[in-house]
Amino acid sequence: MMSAILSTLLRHARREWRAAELKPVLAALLVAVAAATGVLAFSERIERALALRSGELIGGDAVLSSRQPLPRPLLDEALAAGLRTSSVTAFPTVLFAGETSVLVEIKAVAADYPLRGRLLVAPADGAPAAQAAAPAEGEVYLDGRALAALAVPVGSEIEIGNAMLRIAGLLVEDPEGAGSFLTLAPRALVRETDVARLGLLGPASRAFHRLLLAGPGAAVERYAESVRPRLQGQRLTLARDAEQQLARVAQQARAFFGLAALAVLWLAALAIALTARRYTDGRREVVAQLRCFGLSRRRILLQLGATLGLYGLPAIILGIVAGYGLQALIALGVGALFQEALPWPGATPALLGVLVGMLAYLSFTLPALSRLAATSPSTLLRQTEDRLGPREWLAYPLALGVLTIAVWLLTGEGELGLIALAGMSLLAATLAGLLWLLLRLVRRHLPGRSFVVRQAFRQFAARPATTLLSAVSLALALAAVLLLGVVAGDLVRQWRSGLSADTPNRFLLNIQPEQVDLLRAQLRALGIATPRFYPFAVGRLIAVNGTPATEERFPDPRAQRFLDGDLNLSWSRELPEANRLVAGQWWDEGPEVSIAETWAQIFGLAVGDHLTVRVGEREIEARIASVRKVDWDSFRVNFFLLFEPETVAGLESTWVTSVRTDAGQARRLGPLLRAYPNVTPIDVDALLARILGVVDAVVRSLNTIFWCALIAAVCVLLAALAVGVGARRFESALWRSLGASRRTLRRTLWLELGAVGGLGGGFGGLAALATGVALAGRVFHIEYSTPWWLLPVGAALGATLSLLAGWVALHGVDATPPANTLRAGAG
Amino acid sequence: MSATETVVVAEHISKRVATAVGELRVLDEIDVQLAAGQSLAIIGESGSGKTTLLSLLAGLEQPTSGQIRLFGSPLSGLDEDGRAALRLGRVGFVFQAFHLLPSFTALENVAAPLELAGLDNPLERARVALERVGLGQRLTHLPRQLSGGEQQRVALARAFAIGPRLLFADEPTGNLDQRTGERVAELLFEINRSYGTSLVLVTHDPRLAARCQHQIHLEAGRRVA
Ligand SMILES: Nc1ncnc2c1ncn2[C@@H]1O[C@H](COP(=O)(O)OP(=O)(O)O)[C@@H](O)[C@H]1O
Ligand SMILES: [Mg+2]
Repeated sequence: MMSAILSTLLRHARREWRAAELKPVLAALLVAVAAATGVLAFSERIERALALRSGELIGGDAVLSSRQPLPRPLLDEALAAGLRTSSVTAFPTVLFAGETSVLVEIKAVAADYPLRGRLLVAPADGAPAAQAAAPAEGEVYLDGRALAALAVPVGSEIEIGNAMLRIAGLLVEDPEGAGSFLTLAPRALVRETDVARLGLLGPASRAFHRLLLAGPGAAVERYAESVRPRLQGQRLTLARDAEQQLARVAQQARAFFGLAALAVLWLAALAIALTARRYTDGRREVVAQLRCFGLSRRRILLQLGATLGLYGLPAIILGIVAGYGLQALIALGVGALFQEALPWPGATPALLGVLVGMLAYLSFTLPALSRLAATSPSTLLRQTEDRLGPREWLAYPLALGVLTIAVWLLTGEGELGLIALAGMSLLAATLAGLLWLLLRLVRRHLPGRSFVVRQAFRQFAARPATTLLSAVSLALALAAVLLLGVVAGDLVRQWRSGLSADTPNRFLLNIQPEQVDLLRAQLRALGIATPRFYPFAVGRLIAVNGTPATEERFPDPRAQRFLDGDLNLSWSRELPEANRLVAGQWWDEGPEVSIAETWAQIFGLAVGDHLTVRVGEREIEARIASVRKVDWDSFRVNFFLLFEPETVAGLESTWVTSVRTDAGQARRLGPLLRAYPNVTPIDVDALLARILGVVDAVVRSLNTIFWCALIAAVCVLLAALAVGVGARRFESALWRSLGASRRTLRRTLWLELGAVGGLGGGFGGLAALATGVALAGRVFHIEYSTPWWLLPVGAALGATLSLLAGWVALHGVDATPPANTLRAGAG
Repeated sequence: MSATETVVVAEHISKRVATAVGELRVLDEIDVQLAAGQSLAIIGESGSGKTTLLSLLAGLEQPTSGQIRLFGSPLSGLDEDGRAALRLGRVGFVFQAFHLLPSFTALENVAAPLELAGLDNPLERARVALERVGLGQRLTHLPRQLSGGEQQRVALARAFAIGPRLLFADEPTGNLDQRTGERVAELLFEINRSYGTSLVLVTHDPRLAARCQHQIHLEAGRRVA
């Protein structure tokens, strides 16, 4: 019995393969899976590249750091977990060259330093910087500030403690340096073995111990998870959350690719729905007959479902293969990111592709299937027309919603997805409503006198479901295409040019209060736009609302670094640029402080709470007067804590500023700063270049993704038109038997397709521009002049696409002599 | 044009089609002649080639050999659009399966050929035609909301509303019960009489055939009477 049913099912499935209508469903499924997998895989590659990059910012994939030497078990466990390790010891000391001396931070490193990133060293004065290994025993690398302070050339000897070391090179780039530039002193790099050999580190020295860790991502994560609960005074930093700016870019990149995946997926899902409907339309009579013969609904559903499942699985697998090919294609278009090739994607995108594919396949074929299985046997006796029932009108948007939420969860991106979803739903609803009104109107009062015009409008009105579906899918498709092809590129480029045009690339630290006015004037004389100076002090967070701030109380891992480390404080009368109040007021009365939104989240703080901070011997308690949204990717000097100036009156401080210099200004800035030996300049051009590298890669990948969206859009259109091919063929024959010429019928068709396409395309353009404006404001924080031209361009593009698709899908409908069609009957 | 003018002439027409088992002679050397205002019945068993002959005469398809002249014009010299133009405003059809435009209302279905022919007030004329077949109350109904007999009457109204010179009917009563069928047939002959419309009627019904002035009896594609 069982095997009999099975063989019936298989026979049915084999027969169905011959049905022309099945293959488009599978093709649409393949496109859906390929698009989702491809874009997600590419996005993962970018993310991995970024993770590696941020690894280069801290010298490893993770860093354990502590004021005390790191306990042996932590090291052993890392080795056991298969991680590579390299230890770094940092401590302040004074270097001498003859009479001159400079206080530096010495970093003693092992031979394999760094585990990630590179050390750039210029081996002689004026020589170009090149990648170098850790210094040899008896040698030291000094950074520019230390060399300038000592006024000695590379190659000379300097004195450390009781030992002499040869300066083997100018330290240009040190992976550990770029991230935390607010704590930098002039630096020297020596070999770890020299520390013990030369007795550099006394028992009373204030040393900082670090253990760099590197290995496969999963191993690092496992290690971090296992070690974290046992840390006592040590801090574990993972590369992925080490660098705020890079993290922001990574997040935006991920959001962007998520959106792209979503758009393409929507289109492909629509294509699945449409092709599935066409498939089931073609099966109505067969099903009616089967039901007439007495087959149950469940049995028919089983038969249809088995067939779709049998062919769907291979289509999904093929889709995944195609998806990985697609991501390779995108990567090819992008080229190398930061000199190196992109890391390979893992298996996660494939799993997500399967999941998303099955979800799309099931949720978009099931409504049509269940409807088909319910076909009444009476269909055979009476000419009836199958129309979308209320169940389907509900099922499809519901399926789209489910799909969106799934992708949203998978890509972990909320805001963008929601903006897109809301935008698209609004678009679909408005367009549907408008069209519905138009159709009602047209049906009553046909416009125009010419038969062609009237007939075109009547075709519109006669097939409201198809018309709506075509227009809405065209609008969605064009919205996605224009969004990816025009708006996103525009936004990213504009954001990028904003970033490179006036983003500060130099920070000046340790400015003494009495130097501020003069320095400001001198900077202005150099042609550098008037920079803002901020006071800067270091303190510790002691208490929140009067109770001690401990790690037990704030378990958020992000809280750690604020609780056990130094806290950078500032104060200001005015709200700094790149800051925006989201709660409270900018200075009201009494001792007050303003916190960054991140802090409000990490510590669960709100306006009205109290913070106590210790700076030196002084304890300052202040009420939180406001919460600020800080634009961290602005590269300006930003602080988590900003006090009201009166609250911290009399506090000792140095000043910091950030400036933007071009190459010429940078050359003249050097000599100028020689008069301020205490001032520490930090150059962030390298970091900026890396971030722009990512942004450029994203922009370049847009091209390929744009083509994906366009192909998916064309699929949808073809599918939408194919739904009506049978009916159109029949009607064309009927019209011709009544004496209509093919020319007349074609002109009618062109007008109909052009009008639907133009309307849908115009709406698509509107949606793209609305989404663009929303993204500009909410995600990119840039001014974006509304691109109204997208409306006519969208309409023209929509009409063209619709006509092209119509030509492909419908060019044969009037090819056969009417006699054949009429003999065969409708459909 | 004189009253004795022939509206359609077919000389030695044959239709052969290629099938999987070889060539099939659907029609073999048929001659037909029909004068204006007269009626012709095509009778024969199912599969004998009646529908094929009708669609050849109407120019809906092309014969393999032989000549057909519709309203004096040889069909062989015309392409499909040319043949359509020849039918425009002059030919009406009634099919066994009704073949109404499923998404058009009864009124719109009847108005379609009127509009196509560029006549004034197509909707008004369509309404009159529908009232004539007794469907004045069904103007805004879609085909699927009508019974078979009602659908066939809409098809009939569509066929005669333009005042055609020639009306083709392919087993118009085949799908209807006897009483409804009689009613439709009555309408057909009434049109034939009152408008002088020539009628080509395919039927099984000997009584219906007997009411026509001429008969063609087909058997396996050949004329036997
Ligand atoms: N295009 C075609 N291809 C194959 N066979 C055809 C074709 N047209 C007609 N026939 C065959 O020719 C015969 C006559 O058809 P038809 O004219 O429809 O018969 P009738 O209308 O008398 O029942 C039938 O056997 C039919 O199957
Ligand atoms: Mg027949």
